[in-house]
Amino acid sequence: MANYETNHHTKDADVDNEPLLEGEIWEVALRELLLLKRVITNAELNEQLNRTASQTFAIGASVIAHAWADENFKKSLLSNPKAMIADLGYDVSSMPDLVIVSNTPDIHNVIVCTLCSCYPRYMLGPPPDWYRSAAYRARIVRDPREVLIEFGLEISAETKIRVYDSTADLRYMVLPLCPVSVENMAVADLQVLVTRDSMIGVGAPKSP
Amino acid sequence: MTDDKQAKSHTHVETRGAHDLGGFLNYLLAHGIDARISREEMPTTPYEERADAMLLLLSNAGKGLLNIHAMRRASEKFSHEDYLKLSYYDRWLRAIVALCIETGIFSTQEWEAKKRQVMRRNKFSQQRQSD
Repeated sequence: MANYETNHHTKDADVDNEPLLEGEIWEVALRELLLLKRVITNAELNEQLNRTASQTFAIGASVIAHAWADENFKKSLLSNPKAMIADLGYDVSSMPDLVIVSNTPDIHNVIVCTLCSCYPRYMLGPPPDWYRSAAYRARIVRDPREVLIEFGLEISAETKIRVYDSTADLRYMVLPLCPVSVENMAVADLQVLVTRDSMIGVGAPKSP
Repeated sequence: MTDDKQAKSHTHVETRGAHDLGGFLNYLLAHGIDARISREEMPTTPYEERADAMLLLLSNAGKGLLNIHAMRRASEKFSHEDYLKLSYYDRWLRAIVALCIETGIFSTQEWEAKKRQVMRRNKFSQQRQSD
């Protein structure tokens, strides 16, 4: 986005002798006020930074691998995603509602948040820059086929493309088609084939 | 390329919020926004990471101080000019500050004083450096 390239400060703003960017001034001022008012503590802030840094698409990949490996799990997952994800041992208590949309040979699904950046963060980690970009949000609902080609994903003309627009309360995630010749592969091996972009709908899983 | 979903969208910007971007490619082009989707994923800068952490800490999933719908309202009230000019986290910082003031976490006076203090301190450190 317009200002993004200029925001490259690697040092902490407080000890930086370079002029602060306007956004940095706002961040430092907000943080210091929240700390002063004891709304947040430094420990909580660090914990949150560590939590985010450790978030990846691993939970999403694990769930998809289970769905590929077990048709019954897949059916239950599509009808009741949160309960089935909890069944795998993940704590979904703070996760907004989730709908998993399943790709078929006839239908390819892709997700967006045209209004902001709503994303199944718990499943996929923080959203990539382009997911939040004005260009992706404006274009994917207009001409998904063309945008997907830019992502290197060519969807055949016979396949319908459905674009799901996420909201603050309801997030979508794509269940990609299982790659061919993965019979009898273990869930852990299947999981390696699942890519983040395949769960957004802008990429394909890896081949075994 | 067909017309945007709302005819003459870029001349009738007041009829929709600046955040409502779905389908409005011509609007972006009319405002000089690059419509190519850059797939390069830039590392988040430290200040953006902290802004993100504060957003999550204050939200429903964190301390529950700022309701997600209030957050949305605050992040959707930007003018078209500001929305397109400000970066993603700069918009969120402004939205969080507005909500903190609205909910009484701190006052406008406290916010303005703190912001001035941060700016002064930074100028001071600059001066010290050049002495």
